[in-house]
Amino acid sequence: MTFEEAIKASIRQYYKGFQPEASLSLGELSTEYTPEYFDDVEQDMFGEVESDEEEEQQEVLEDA
Amino acid sequence: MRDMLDGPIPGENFTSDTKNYPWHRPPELTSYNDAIEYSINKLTSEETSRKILAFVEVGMPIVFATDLFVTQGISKGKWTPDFAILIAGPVARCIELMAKAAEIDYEMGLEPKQPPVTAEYLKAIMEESKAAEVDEDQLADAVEAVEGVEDSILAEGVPEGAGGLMAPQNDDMGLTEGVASLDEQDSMLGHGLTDEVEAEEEEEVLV
Repeated sequence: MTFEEAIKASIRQYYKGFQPEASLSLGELSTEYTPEYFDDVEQDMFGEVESDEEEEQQEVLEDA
Repeated sequence: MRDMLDGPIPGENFTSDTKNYPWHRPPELTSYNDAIEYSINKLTSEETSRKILAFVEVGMPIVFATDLFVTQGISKGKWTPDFAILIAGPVARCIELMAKAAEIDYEMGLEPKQPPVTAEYLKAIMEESKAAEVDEDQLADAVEAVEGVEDSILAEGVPEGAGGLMAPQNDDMGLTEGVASLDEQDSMLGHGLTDEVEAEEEEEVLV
């Protein structure tokens, strides 16, 4: 695995919601910079951000 | 020779200072939170944000922009390569938010390079190959036409003056009159001239 591939894999894992827990347990027990933190920042910046699942649910409700 | 003498001697590497480069020294940032804070501050600075967003705007995927940023941090001694991989996720998310705020159409670069092979994909390829097949009747007609042209050329024969690069030239140049005589060849080679000069010299001596 190249460095570029490792970076890509790391980003992919972060977007899925995984955190480097083993590394965090060595020094800090927690981090504030979680995916949820950035979601909140995005929400503050651009208003209500609907997730894909919510959009799909709304579409299903509208169809029904 | 001088270049060879200027080269390093065996073992010279052990005498050099190993702290010449930032990545030879311990990293400045070893805390996950501190590293992300530094990254966010650096990314949102005017100079860096302009550079990064310019790259993203011209089509660089955010993954590559992240790679660029964290690798630069390694070269400056901010963090280790392992730590760079750990903070890549938050850095990418931050760049993504910056691109959204700047209303730039960005590409993440996380998509697989080639689409997976599906049945529909294979069917489409087979249909294309069938469409590209040549009709046998058309091929036979084309072969007949080419053979007809060849026969007509052979029947007419080669016209005068036609020929390749190495064919004899026209008589206008006077090159096809035949081989020069021996006297002409001697004069061209200068033998005749030397005989005349020698004869004149002999006459002068006798006088």
